[in-house]
Amino acid sequence: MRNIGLTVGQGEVVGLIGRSGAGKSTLARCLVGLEKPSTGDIRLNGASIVPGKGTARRQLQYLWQDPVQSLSPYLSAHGAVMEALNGFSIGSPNSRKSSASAYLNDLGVTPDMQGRRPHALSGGQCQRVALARAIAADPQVLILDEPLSALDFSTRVQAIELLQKLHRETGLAMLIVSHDLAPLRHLASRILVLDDAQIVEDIRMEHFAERAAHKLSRAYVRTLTAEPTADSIDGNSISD
Amino acid sequence: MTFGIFLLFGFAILALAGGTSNLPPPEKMDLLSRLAGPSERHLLGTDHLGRDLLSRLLAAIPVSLGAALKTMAAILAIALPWGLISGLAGGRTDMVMMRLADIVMAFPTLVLALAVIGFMGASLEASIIGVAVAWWPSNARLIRALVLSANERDFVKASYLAGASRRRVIFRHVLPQILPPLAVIVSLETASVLLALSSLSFLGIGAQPPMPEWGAMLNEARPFFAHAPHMLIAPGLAVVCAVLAFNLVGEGLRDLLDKRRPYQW
Amino acid sequence: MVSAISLRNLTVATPQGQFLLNKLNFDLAKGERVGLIGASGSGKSLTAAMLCGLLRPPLSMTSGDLYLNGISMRGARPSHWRCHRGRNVFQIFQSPASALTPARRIGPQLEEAARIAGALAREVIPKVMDKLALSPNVVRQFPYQLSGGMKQRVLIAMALILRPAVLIADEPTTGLDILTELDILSALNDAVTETGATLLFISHDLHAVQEVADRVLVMQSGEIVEDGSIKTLGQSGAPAARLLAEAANRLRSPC
Repeated sequence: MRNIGLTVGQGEVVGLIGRSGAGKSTLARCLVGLEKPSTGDIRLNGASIVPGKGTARRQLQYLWQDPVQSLSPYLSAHGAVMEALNGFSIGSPNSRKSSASAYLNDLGVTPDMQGRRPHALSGGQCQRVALARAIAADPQVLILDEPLSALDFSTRVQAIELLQKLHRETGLAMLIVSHDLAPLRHLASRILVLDDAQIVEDIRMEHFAERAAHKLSRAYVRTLTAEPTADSIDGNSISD
Repeated sequence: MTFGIFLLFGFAILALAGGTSNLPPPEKMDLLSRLAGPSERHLLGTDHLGRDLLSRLLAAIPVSLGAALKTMAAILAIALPWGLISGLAGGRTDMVMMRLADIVMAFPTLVLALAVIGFMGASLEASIIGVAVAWWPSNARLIRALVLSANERDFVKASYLAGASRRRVIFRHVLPQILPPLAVIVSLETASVLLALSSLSFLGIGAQPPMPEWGAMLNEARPFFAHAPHMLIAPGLAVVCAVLAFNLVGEGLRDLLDKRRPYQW
Repeated sequence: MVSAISLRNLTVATPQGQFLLNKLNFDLAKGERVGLIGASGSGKSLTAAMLCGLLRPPLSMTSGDLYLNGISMRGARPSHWRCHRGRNVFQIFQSPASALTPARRIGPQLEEAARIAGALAREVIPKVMDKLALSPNVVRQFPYQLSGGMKQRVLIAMALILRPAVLIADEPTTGLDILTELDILSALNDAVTETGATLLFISHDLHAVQEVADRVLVMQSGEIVEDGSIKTLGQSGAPAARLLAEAANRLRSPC
């Protein structure tokens, strides 16, 4: 991985696509300190930060590809969100219990599910809990590593709707790593294409199909043209 | 597992019963009935000094099992923090700590225990310390390996990134992962430690006479094997049962804590 | 004409009486390509294992019957199954990494397949390698040196050598990126066309199924709830099938 330059604007949703092994995940993991870059620096609001340390730990939140594995089996859904609130000392100690419930409720984790541990929740529900935990930290940027890959096919639509709603309501900046362009069409406003550890395309989503020039980008455009299932229930698209 | 627990409970009850029953005291000699076979007065017979074997066998339970448990506690007291710190710190600290453990491990365990006992003078306490010194490095290595894999789990890193302090991560997310396998290891290791202590007593450098201890009793019985085999069989069986009990409990714990379910596809 | 695979009220239950597969009924004609789709935990992979005789005790066919080429496999012994696997049924697994022997080079593993099929290894291996766009060097490499997509292609090569009557592909593209996925699916399509095998393609992704099959079986908690054309999935009577069609449509639809 060398000479990568990438920016995410305030409140912008950026999609990062590329083949497996291209370094997408490594790049995302560098931003939260799960991997150490050899050189270069990462800035947040113009100030250089050390990923995973100090306030940067709170401001950049990371969502794992497998939501079930990213939740501790020793904590309930509510406990996981409480851990974030307590850890970052957010709100007064007395109000944390109720605000943790509120975060979970907002993301569709009902009170009867909040006491359950991850193994008693489905993959989609675990992802909601992981999202609630990340949002509770009050971050500036949310980094999502393949948020759909570990989910069942029919759960994916719900996950996309959830992320859309989240972005609408919080205006949170997001960086979404994905191997598939199709779901990003509903989420990202800008697409970066990563090939062989370099960014080869940086283009707004609405221009991608017409103007993207790199041959890898064209390959992704071709995956979109596969015709949608004919005759299935009328396609009222997700982001109307 | 139930049988193992049953055996251990049996030992505990027998130890208590031995203290309160009207058996002759374990040190009381009766030179007139030396090397007597099992009889109504002496259920398991007597030894070469006419002491009641049953009484000595029961009095040895707290000594032998107690020594094994004390040794295991001492081993854990060193190995747990050693392995935990080594595994979590990583880098140079890890390397130095593990090389130190390796140096100790390079000596054959019993020889090292013998050296410590030779230095301190033969006694049960010395053999406890000797065995602990020789046994901790392998346990520290095991614990370090457990910590390393526990620490690599996604949810451990996720908890840290989501705000949990280092201390909370260690105590709430790493330690609970290593406790179940550790429980299995401890019960299996206790059995081998018990054997080691008994061997040392058998060699005459563990528990000293007249203290009743299974290994020491076996040693005392050795010269009289031909005409008083009961002296050898009783403590021998006791050791076998105790080791069996710890092993069964260990195996049972392993089955109980092993989370793999048979019907997963 | 005799069906390649035919299931009659086939049931697999745990000793505790929980039904893992409940009264499965379907027929695959020779040379047909069929998708088997369903949420995770619905019993798709278990079905695949059952079709290859890979059920491990305490699981077994509780009732019903399974016919391969018209021959009943109920109560077949492991040795009987072993004769079937490879020649008659071949499975491409979800994780190619565990389907290839890690300590042997690719070449010998393909030669073994050629021996089972009774083909001449020297002739057939270069031919299939060429067909799947695998470089000749691959035969000298170990499985860990290959990427996920390459390993999957090696397994398809194995299928091409073995020329099984029935090819079962269990989530062969899960975990691969979408471009690799399309490559693998077209390689699979070509392989099936060439060998004339019956294909059962198992996936939770309707898009992937669409690439290779027209007919689809929808599975939900151990039962087949729909058996029909992909095109009419949206009008299915089964809610699970409609949900899948809707999800597929929405994921691919432009904004």
